[in-house]
Amino acid sequence: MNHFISTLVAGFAEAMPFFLVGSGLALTLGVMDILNFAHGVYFMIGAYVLHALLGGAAVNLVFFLLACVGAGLATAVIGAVSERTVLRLTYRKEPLIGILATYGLFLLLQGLVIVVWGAAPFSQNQSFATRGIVTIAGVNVARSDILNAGVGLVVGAALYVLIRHSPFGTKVRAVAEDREMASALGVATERVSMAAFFIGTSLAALAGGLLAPQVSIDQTLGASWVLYAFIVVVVGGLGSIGGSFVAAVILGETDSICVSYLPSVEPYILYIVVVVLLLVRPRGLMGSLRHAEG
Amino acid sequence: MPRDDSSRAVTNGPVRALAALARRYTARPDQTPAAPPAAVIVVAGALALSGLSNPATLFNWYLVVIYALFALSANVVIGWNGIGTFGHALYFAAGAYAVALLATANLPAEVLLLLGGAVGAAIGLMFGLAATRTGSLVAMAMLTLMFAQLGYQIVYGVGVFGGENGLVGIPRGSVFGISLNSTTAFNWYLMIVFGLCWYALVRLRRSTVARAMLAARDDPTRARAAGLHVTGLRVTGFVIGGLFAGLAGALYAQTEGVIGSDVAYWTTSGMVLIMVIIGGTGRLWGPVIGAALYTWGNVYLLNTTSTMDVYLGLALLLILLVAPRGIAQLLTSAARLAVSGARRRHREAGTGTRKGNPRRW
Repeated sequence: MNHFISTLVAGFAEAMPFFLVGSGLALTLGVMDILNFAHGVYFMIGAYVLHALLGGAAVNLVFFLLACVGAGLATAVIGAVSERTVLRLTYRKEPLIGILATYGLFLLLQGLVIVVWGAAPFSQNQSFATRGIVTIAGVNVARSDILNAGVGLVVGAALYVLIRHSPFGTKVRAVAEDREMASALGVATERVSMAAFFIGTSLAALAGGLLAPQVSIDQTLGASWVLYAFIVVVVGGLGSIGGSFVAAVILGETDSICVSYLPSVEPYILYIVVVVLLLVRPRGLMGSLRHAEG
Repeated sequence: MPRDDSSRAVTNGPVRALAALARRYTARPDQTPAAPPAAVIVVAGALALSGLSNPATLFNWYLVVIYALFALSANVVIGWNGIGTFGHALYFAAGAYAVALLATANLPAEVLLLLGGAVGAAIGLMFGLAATRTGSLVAMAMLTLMFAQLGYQIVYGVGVFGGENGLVGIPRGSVFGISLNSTTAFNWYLMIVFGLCWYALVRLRRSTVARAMLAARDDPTRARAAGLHVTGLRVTGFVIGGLFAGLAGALYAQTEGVIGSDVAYWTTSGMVLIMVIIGGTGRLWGPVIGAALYTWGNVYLLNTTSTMDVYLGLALLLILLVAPRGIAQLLTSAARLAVSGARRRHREAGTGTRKGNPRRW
């Protein structure tokens, strides 16, 4: 029983980076109707920037979190610049051109990462406070899992308040609902788009920074994490941030349970969940019909 | 050949239905023949390949031919259907693995090739049926990606496929008793397969079905109102795309002799997409140009730099934003400009006797 509970806790912690990356993509997808293939690269850049800030050394938790935030903000600037320079040019064109242009952006940014940091992988040490395992009421929990779960919950709550209960969030939802009407009512849609892109990118990069000690920091991160982001967004419903939370938790728990009890199925399980869900409900758990029928 | 000959020749029901179906998928009779250009491609290509002595160069040109077929297949979905597909890697891989896994069965190369195409088409059908459950292009791109990645995980994880190391020692086999281990025989085999596919695609491109696909691409609502089955046309595109991608994959396995799971990874779909977009979707020879440019650009960049992704990304963005119909469009407009310029100069010089198009009196 204790083993099962610790599996669930690990699954929840595993889900949080999925949620951060997926909700960032859901935000940009909802606001701009753009499926951003470059999203995984922002995760990767976040991990690289964190490694550059800390130099791979182990630090205390406060510095680690500050570095995560720094990585998120620095990468978000790159994201906002790429939105202004590249993606904005595609808004008035066919949707297919927008999708393909983000793939071009993916290649360009991934190539630039190799130019800046080289092809050899980096590794980042855990901060002192998140090493090892702690036992709470007989349940073994990795300390890094507590950090991931905590950051995920805090960011999720902040995102909820921002989108649902702030003037900015109202504008974001208005633009996502109907860009032309929002523009006619005086919302600066371009500025809202860029802000949404800034936030979405920073979420991906924050996840990258957070996971940097747990992954090998190399140029394959972009291609694999864009897939995780897509999986979360597809399962949760295109453009739904709440859906991406639910989807991330389902996927994280499923994966964690498979790691513990069905290791042979583990490599396929995420995709099996996606495929089954999509065959049953093509628009995802909480997706709007607009994005499904487009 | 006049149209009514073929329909008068058949009398019984099923055969007539099949003949009608075949007519829908091939060119209308009033058009220029497609066979002579295809024959020229085969002969010229095979002779040119046989003239190459450097094995590395020869191998890269093999890749150009294979990738050209692969890009042509992807163009059916991207260009004709207007759907951004990220599933193409899996059809290609399916064709390649079909050949690799059946290598021990001692089947002739042409049978293996057709099996590869059939497996590709079957997977294309599955993907098409599943992806077209949604009407949104964004969702279709994501769905094809998800399905292809599930396939990749299976190829990577299941022992039969050899995992990361892949399968090695795939024989080229023989066609109608002629061993393909001789370079000349293989050159002709490769070019004949490519020529037949090219011929089939030209006929297809001119067919009623392809025209309906273009109509459904440009305006699905209007196409539906005109009585076209838009979903059916999209699935048809996936099947045709899967078929030719499977054939290309089978050729790839026969050429390389080695196949690894990275072929099935989604970035392979990205690669073929780059070829199609850079070459151009509007003309059949566009993807061929794209494949040649990509393959040789890749060889060149690999030799000179480690940062080819930067150049690929820039090239893709530049084409998409400046000339979304690709190099084919640029060349066509340039040729048109040159022709009209020459005609004008011809008239202004006073040497022309007729104004305007000389064929019109």
